[in-house]
Amino acid sequence: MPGSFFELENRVGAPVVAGETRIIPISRALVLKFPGLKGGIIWNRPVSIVAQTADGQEQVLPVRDVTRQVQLALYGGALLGTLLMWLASRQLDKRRKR
Amino acid sequence: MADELSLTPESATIENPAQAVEAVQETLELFLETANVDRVYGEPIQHGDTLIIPSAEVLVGLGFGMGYGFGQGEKEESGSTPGGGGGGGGGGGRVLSRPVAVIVASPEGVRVQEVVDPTKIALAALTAAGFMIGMMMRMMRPGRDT
Repeated sequence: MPGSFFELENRVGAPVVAGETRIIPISRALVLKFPGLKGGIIWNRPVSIVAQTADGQEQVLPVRDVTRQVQLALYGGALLGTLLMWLASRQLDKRRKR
Repeated sequence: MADELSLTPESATIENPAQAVEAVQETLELFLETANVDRVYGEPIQHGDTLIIPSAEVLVGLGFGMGYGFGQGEKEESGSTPGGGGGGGGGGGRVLSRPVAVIVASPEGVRVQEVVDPTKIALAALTAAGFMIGMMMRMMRPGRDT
């Protein structure tokens, strides 16, 4: 394994030709290596594609992970909702004590 | 997309330590290839005028360890000292892969079609709801400190 303990880099793939359009895929890889051990963790995911047309126009299209975004929104909403409920219950307790 | 790592009993049999180190090295090289772009974007599929490129997220975890030792017995009557040694190793890993999107190139243009996994979303919603209900019940419990 070359390099450091932690690597995050964008990698560009070979272009794919579709009619008059060239599609260049881009991915982002997170490589974690355990110091002193053989092995590690690699998390590789698609980031975007670049579509180049014959007339020279270039368009960058992001590859969005909708499932992950919804999951994070749900977990974030649950944490925020719980925090708000906790704050509200503390306020109610204070009022009751007065 | 991710390469298949298949270990049959025949291929798992190791005759000497050098072979074991070689097997580990080969597996590590395959592991590092997971970071390449072609592991995330699949082979393009042509369907009439339309070209489809599937894309997926890949998560791989892998670990190996090995060790060896030597020992010496008591001196024999003949004067020689018997010795012995042994070694062992092991490893494990897991590959997780999930479709993220499909790139569709047609005469109308190129677009990215997201892949939505309703099962994962439903599980996340249930987990979030369970967490909120659990915390709410804890807050409503009589005699709590906070």
